[in-house]
Amino acid sequence: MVLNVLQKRGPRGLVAVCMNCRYWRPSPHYPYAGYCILHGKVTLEDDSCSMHSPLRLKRNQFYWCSSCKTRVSSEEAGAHASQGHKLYLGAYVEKDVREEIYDAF
Amino acid sequence: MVDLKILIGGPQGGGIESAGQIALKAFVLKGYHVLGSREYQSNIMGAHSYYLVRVMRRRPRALTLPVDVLVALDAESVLTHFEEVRPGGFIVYDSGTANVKASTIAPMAKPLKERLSEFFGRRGSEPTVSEALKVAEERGVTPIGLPMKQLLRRVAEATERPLASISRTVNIMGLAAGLYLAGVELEYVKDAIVAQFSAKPKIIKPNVVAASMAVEHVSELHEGLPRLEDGPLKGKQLMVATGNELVAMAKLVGGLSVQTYYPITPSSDEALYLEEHRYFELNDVAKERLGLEKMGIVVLQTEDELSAINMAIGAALAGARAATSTSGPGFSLMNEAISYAVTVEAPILITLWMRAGPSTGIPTREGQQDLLHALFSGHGDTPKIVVASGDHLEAYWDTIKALEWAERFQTPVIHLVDKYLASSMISIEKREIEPRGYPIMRALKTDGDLRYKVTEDGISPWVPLGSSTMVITGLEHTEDGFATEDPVARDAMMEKRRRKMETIKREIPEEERVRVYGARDADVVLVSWGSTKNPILSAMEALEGEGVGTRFVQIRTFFPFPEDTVSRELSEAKTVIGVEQNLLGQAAFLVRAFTGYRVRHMILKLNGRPIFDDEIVYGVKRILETGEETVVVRGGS
Amino acid sequence: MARSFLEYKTDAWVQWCPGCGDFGILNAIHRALAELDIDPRNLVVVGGIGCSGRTTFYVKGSNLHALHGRAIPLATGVKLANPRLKVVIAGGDGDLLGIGAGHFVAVGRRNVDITVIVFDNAVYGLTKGQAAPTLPSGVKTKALPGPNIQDAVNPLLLALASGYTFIARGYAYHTAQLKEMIKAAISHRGTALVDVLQPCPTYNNVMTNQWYEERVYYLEEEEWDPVVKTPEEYRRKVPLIAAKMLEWGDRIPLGVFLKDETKEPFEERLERQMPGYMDNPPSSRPISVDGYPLADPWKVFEEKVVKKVEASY
Repeated sequence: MVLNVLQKRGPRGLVAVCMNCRYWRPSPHYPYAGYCILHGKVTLEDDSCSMHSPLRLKRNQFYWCSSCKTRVSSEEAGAHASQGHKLYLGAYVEKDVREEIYDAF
Repeated sequence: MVDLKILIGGPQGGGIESAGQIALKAFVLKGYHVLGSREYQSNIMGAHSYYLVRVMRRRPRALTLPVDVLVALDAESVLTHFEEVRPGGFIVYDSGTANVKASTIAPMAKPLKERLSEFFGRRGSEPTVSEALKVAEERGVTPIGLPMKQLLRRVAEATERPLASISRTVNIMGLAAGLYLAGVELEYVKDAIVAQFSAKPKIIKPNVVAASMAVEHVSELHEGLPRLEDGPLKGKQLMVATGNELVAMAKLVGGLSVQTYYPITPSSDEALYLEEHRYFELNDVAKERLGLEKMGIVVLQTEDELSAINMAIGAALAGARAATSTSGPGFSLMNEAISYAVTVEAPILITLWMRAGPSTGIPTREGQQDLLHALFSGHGDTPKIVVASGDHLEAYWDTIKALEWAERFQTPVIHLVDKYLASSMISIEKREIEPRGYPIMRALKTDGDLRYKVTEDGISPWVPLGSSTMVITGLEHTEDGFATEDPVARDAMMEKRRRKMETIKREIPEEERVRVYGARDADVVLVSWGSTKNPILSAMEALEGEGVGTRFVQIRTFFPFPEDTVSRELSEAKTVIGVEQNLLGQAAFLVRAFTGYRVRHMILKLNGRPIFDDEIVYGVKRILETGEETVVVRGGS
Repeated sequence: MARSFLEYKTDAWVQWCPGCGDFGILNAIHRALAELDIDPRNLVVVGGIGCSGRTTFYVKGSNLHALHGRAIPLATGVKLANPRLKVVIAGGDGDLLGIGAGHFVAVGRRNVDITVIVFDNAVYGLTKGQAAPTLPSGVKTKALPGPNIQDAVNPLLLALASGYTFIARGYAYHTAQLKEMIKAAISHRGTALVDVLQPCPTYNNVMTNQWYEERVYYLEEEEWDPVVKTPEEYRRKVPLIAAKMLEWGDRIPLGVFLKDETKEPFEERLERQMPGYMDNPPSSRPISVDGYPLADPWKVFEEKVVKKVEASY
């Protein structure tokens, strides 16, 4: 099953965009933007390119559930996907994030 | 009168810190004094956090709600703060989040979700961002939607390169839009961005472009508040620093040479800041006189707080100016060593950053619950100095004084500072932290070599380890330091401890130990301590305007307790009200213990958020109207 | 030899029980100090709580008697403040390996130039003979109501795992050999452990002098070379050292197990981070000039000053 398929009206079932590409990692904070590990750059969830490779649910894999802001294993991922959650192979943590967080325990 | 309040909310890690700092910088560059505060959860990433900023011509004394502008970078921020904006104010939000339901926001606290469901249920709707905005609109607030995703795309197109940072573009757009609506010209936001990211030139340009685009978008929707005129400090350089940072600065300025610590909120940032500056450049006079360029402070992270305090004691006994820094749970572990430090007469400073307990409590939130703990720390009779600072600058100067007191009286000094001071920041003028009128000197008495000599004033000659043969022990001891259980020798040492306390009381002047503000003939006297000071001073002005005269007794040292002043001030008052952020009214408890006077009314805040000035106004009026014993105020998200 | 060992004795009454192993250790310490010719004013003996901690009062030095378990951090503080001092810790196995075990580990990680002497009699003497952390399980001393239900910790292996750069084990009544080990430990630059097995004739009626004498032997008898000069040599030798440290029962090895010369002591790490630390250590460095601070806050903390920066972007 391909994850994060856009529910757009139109003839095509799958709109091949970053959010359903296996190379894409959303920001954990602002998930409409993310990082393409193939091109090494920040793109938006509905950007697209010719290298698109569909993101599928596989076994023995962890996913970042962007809707729940947490990591889930493939055993749970199916249930998340069927509720319309957005799942990715990881999230994109920016390298300076340390400067934005606090001493908190 | 300029009094702007801005709240910037978003997920922890999502750029709230730099947005807050840029906001503060923009206002400082515009010539204003600022007060800012971080409120965040015990979480690394993703939980809701926010910055509260207040801007005035003189330094703001308290945070307060509602705000003029809420910048909500995500849905949770709208749903958390939509009722905290004043009529006529603005909510900047991401228009892409309009349909988000509270129930789908994973990090949002369950009790808040329930309250929202109930609130919107009564209105026959569901808690969603757009419903929340509707409520705000009904109250005269203007929601301003920013299509964040589309704007991000336009920023990338305009700079002709991929975005350098997601969080640090989204935050700037929200902030720039918010500041525009607050009346700040884009130019100042740009200058603040440059100042903020001067070490990261790559992200300056995209951020400046992002700010411009957001302002362009917003200015077509609304003109915002009247443009802010230049403030009185325009062109003058101000520092913006947190209480954590100011205490670290004071330790360096005050000649500290060893600091130990174990990581704990809200104290670690102090030690880390000191560590960043541990090898510092000397000023020209010192360079010339000492023939050195730099000097070091040993800042060491230890394996636990037991080690931290014992190491500081060891360093002090060898002659270093030594301190440690902790919070309630760590201080609990230090208790045995406090008693040891009293017995061996070790000059050490313990900076105790109070947070909301009991137990692990809410580690990142405000509380004033460790006063009794500090005062009665250590087994056996353990007199020591306990000083509580009322604001950022007091925390700075008290640190310098405490280092000196510790040496002069050869005793541990516990410096109480609250979490609110730790992570809130103020604008400071240069003269306010310039060492003046308070000479920085070693204060160890050196008139002999009998380390524990029984003296009139209870202070013995100081003999550091390594200077002669000696013994220092936590066992009761004779004048030469050797252990003894002899009853006469024991009495002599106990009497010496008593006389030392009397000396401390005599030598630390009463005006250092207590401060009294307000009209002498006021009917209401407020008694408080710690970071409630400035909110109280601010509330006093407001009460005065409403015809309620008040006086404020700020207790600064609890050991030695300023009995005379407190007793005099309270016994003459008609209504005495304690203001504290703990359950018992710990200072009021001590007032009774030391003076016999019972404080009959209390304004308490217990929810872990700093007290606001208007809450004190409310509490005082309520007590005067109803005669209630205790008013608990509950503001803040 | 410049000093007599008598110069290191104090006039305090040495109050240990007759037959206590502490006497042997104290004698070895006195003699080691004399042979090293250490100025008592530059010596800091930091004692723990317990019988052995009383050593603080019996060795002439500039001494410190700690809280229970806290001798190591207290001593570390002294050393950080004044790295020129010779710092020797004298504590029991209950103090250093029970209540103070966290610090026993941490000091090794830092490799502070300190000598830790463990007075290892496997019991808590002053509180009437309870099992200490080095008492093997199943042993029932007469002070215990039943056999010890908790296992023993191996001080040598714990020290090895924690990064101590000198690890030795002696026996309290072999004072000549013990003296040499203590001398080597004090002379070593880094954290040194001397674990001293000793009988407690009052409470430990199992591990007696005779029990030890029947079992102990010296590593030198097997041509043991404890010195490690390179990281490669460390990797090669460490399994052999660990195996030796595990040996216990019918035969108990004594001697210097490890002398690791590959690691920088903590004082040198600080000097490298902050050149001038050794010359102007915290204990004696100036804190001001004529009452004015050494640094100007507006300059040192300049990054907190908000100013308009000209930048082209």
